[in-house]
Amino acid sequence: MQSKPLSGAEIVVKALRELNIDVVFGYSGSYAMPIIEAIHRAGVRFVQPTSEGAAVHAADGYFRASGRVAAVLTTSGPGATNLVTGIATAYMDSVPIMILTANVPTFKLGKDSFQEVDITGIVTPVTKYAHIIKSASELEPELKKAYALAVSGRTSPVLIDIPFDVLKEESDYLGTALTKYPKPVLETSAVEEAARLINSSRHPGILAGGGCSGAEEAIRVLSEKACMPIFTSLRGISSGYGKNLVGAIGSSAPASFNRAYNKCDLILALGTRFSDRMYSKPTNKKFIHVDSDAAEIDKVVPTALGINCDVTDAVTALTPLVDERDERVEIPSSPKKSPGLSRLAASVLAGAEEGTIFATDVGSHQLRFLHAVREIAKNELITSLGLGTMGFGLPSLIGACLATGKRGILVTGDGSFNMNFNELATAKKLGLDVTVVIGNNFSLGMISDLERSEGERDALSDAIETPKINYSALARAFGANGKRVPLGRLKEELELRPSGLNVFDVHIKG
Amino acid sequence: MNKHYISMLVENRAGVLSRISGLIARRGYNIEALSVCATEDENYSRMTIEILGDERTINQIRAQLTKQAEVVRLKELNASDSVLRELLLIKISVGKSEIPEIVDLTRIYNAKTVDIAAGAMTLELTGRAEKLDSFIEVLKPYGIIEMARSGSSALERGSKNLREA
Repeated sequence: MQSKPLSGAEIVVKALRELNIDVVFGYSGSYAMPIIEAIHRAGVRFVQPTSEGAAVHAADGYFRASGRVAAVLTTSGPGATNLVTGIATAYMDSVPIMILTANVPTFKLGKDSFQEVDITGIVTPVTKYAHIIKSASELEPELKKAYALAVSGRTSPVLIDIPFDVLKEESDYLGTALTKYPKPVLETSAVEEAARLINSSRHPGILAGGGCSGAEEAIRVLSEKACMPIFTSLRGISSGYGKNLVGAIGSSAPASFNRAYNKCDLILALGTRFSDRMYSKPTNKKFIHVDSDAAEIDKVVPTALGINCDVTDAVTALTPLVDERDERVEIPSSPKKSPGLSRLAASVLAGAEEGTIFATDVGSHQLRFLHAVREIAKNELITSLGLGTMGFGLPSLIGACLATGKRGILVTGDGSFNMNFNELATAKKLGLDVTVVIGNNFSLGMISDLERSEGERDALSDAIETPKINYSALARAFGANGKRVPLGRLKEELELRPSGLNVFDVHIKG
Repeated sequence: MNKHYISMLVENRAGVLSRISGLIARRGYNIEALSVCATEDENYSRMTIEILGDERTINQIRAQLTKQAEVVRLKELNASDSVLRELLLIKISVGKSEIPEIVDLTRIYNAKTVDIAAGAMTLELTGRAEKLDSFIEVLKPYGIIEMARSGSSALERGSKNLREA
């Protein structure tokens, strides 16, 4: 039986349902309305935060916490351009998001019409796929192609731009199958060569990056058999690495971790893109680099051997071939930093119950928190690393808590929090259990640290100091429980925190 | 640093050229020429990229290009197993008495005269880049008014087809 043709907007929603996308973070706008109406008719959840920028961060946090892809929907023009920072954030951290933007009708395209913007052109460098649809019959195959690309190989955001008249045009929904993008095939000879390199090295180590999600157990087994210490990138921080975990290395890491890393004569690098914060100058070490994205291999670090394949597949094949070693892996101690933000990080970790989702913003508070965490389930830590987007924390935590129903704590600084505190309204509206801990020094701490002398800092005070906001009063205006909390009381206050929305303003020196 | 030729079949649709050229520019690759043309199959265009670079850079470019969703096939061609051709149109100042010399030169190079005006001639030459370079050198003393030169078009020798490779 021939099924009834659907409108473009109905095709979009039907495709989202077929792809198991059950939440759309979006913002209304005239050209987007046909989809929003169809979403409501179909009973798909629609969440409207206070800006488009927050919507895309929320979809990002939603995936990081749950592994489920969310959609984002906005209207044309500024609705679309407001997404750009969030898309770039997700792209740098390899987070898949299905982004839909409405655009002006096709006959108005290219004429600088009201709220027209070439969004596919703008986001091309920060998406795996970006396409503008010109007829309703293209919609279903393009949405499915975009989704399949987003979730295959190295995951990434994708964007489909849909002119208003296409949303009204009718076409058949064919129910075509999703394109399969096969995983790269692991070659036995490469695994044998990797084993030979490891077996002939004196101090081999493992560097685990963000691409090791789900491979932690396989990596632990390999590291224990071959006595390899495990180092991670900040994006690679995870639980499950066992007793050989040293911790995160890089420019912000404890010097003892970096020294231990530099002692290795061979590094098995897994699913990492060698950020410039981790690798800045050539070394004598040999590198074996395993990555599902072939373009990462030899991009930054010249490798002795590059293997383009899934990390779990490679490590699982490699383990039986490496020689068993019987050495003690030395785990250097990390210096205890007591003041300010390190103490705040420790108090937050001590005061939170198991199963809490943590988010951070970007700045000194983030680095101190990430180094204090050391081990945490990957889906319980939401933080923007590659792009370092201030203001990411609150909206992404909203997405994460919405996806999981867990309690959330945002560790933020005054600078970052000021960028998106209007999202307290969204957290309140959704009834989420979110507590914001502001490490408040009324300044941009990381920037302040860049300026060496007090004289320089004084001269640049406008660029360093933040407004003197009373965050307790601000929180109450949003219907949240807001209070000043002395650093010494933070742990207790977190243990006793009521469910719902809390904002703890913790004044920090320096 | 050697010259490399990359031949690609890409989806024939809006935005593809922009994605590929943007990628090359953004990553700072040193390309000599990029040519895009239609193919026997309307779904695909062929891009030929000439790049100067060492082995590692070329491998990086290949990997970055290969992972683009719009790139259907990619193959590096080398001068020995491929046919590489460029087109040159060159307009030179020529006095009446010099015309026979120019006609001789065009015969030697297998070039064509495509336009003659008072004081000027426009010549056309197809061939390998080195042949075009040499022709331009020879014509320089007459005075080059303007010239247009395409990037290389390239096909692999033999009976194979990149689409089905």
